[in-house]
Amino acid sequence: MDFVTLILNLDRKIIFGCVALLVVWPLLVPIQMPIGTTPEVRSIFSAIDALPNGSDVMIAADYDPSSKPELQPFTYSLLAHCFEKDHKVHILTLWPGGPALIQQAIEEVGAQYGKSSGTDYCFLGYKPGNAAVVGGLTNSITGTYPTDFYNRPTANMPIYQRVQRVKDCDYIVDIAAGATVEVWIAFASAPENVPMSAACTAVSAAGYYPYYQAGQLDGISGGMKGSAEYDVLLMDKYPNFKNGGARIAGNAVKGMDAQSAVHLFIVLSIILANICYFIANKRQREERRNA
Amino acid sequence: MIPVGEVIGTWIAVGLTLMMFSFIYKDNPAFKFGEHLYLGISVGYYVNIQYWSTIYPLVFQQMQQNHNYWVLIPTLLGIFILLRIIPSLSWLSRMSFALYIGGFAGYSLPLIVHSLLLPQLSQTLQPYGGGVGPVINQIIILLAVFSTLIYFFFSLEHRKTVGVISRVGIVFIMVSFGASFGYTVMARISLLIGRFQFIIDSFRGQ
Repeated sequence: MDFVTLILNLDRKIIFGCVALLVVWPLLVPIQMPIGTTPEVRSIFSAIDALPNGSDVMIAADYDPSSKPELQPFTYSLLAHCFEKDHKVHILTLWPGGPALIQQAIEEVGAQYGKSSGTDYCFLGYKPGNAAVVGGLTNSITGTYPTDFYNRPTANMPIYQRVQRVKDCDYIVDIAAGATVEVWIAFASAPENVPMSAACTAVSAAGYYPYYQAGQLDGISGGMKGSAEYDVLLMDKYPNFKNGGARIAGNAVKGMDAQSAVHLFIVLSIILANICYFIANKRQREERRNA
Repeated sequence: MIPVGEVIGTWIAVGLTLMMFSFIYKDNPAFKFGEHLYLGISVGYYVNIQYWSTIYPLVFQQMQQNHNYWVLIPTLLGIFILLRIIPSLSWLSRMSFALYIGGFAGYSLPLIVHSLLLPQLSQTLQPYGGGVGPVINQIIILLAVFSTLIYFFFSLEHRKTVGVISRVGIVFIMVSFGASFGYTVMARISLLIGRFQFIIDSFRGQ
């Protein structure tokens, strides 16, 4: 069997094995390939960084464990960035599978920065209804969420003594695994004129570029790569974060070596398979002509 | 010291991950077990979350603590939707759906037109300016929008000029699909990396 036939009849298990190897190896022995930052992610970082200290940021973490590797690192980094700037964080989820992940993130990062629930941040929890919930938040945050995730009344919390509704917040970030970005734009950001950015899974990133192009989103972070970029920007600007937040930062960065290695393998495989396909086609045509 | 429960939980998670990966070799009982366990636990988890975050606070708690019995009306409408499974009573669900669709359409249509459609339209038809690069971008965007809309315009036969424009539209659609596919590959690899990272970190005790 010659090389062309071998490639065209390659058992797919060999390809799976190569992909597994290329994922595991860089995780065990990091290559530390450079991670460039894109204007889309830099815009999110600059927007959060440019807010005056103590601003109110509403974070919608609309994802569940199936998107954890892509979006959870972004949540950690964004929370750390907000707390680094002493911003007040209002965090919630429109996804039923989200609360456990958010609880883990907000409690871990909050404890690291010595922030307290009800004063520096509030985890509002999950509520079904997407547009109805977002619409409700434009009228009253405490009315839509009378209690927080821990079942404590929100109306008495210090954080809600000056913030009543979404319009009182200075910024919105939707960390989304689905189509909730459009809901936040349509029902909160655009009508209430609150600037907004989105961090989404790589699958949905291409679909949100028109909103970025139109200026309805300040920035977009797509998948693990976007999260890694945010980590890099954060570590460059706040060296303390690098030292103090080792557990917080770098999860996405660690995965990028493997990501790059597998992408390279896939691109080379596609090129090789196509070349072999055309060679095999040419051979078949010649054989037919000779026959 | 790490709690025993956390250690056991991690080992179960690692074991289940390997069970799911075993499908790459071939379908097998370990994969089937993991698959069914995942489905069962997911359904149980989501039912639990929905009950405690919706039905209990918005229905039972409202009636018990606030004596607000108006909540029975939406609850009844919700039960009507479930009656679709009984053919003789399925007509009741139409009332709920009519109210839901009508109410939501009335609420969301003006906002969606104002917040999504009009800003997108105005950005597509922006006046040219800002240097050579932005002008080229504007022309490409306008060309892409126009040719793609023509591709989905079926009242004219796609021949001659209309055919040429719709073929240009196909090119733009294909570029869009390519970008989405590239991003999809990245997303799937990210999930694989996440799982391997979890397994490696578990073995390292992190």
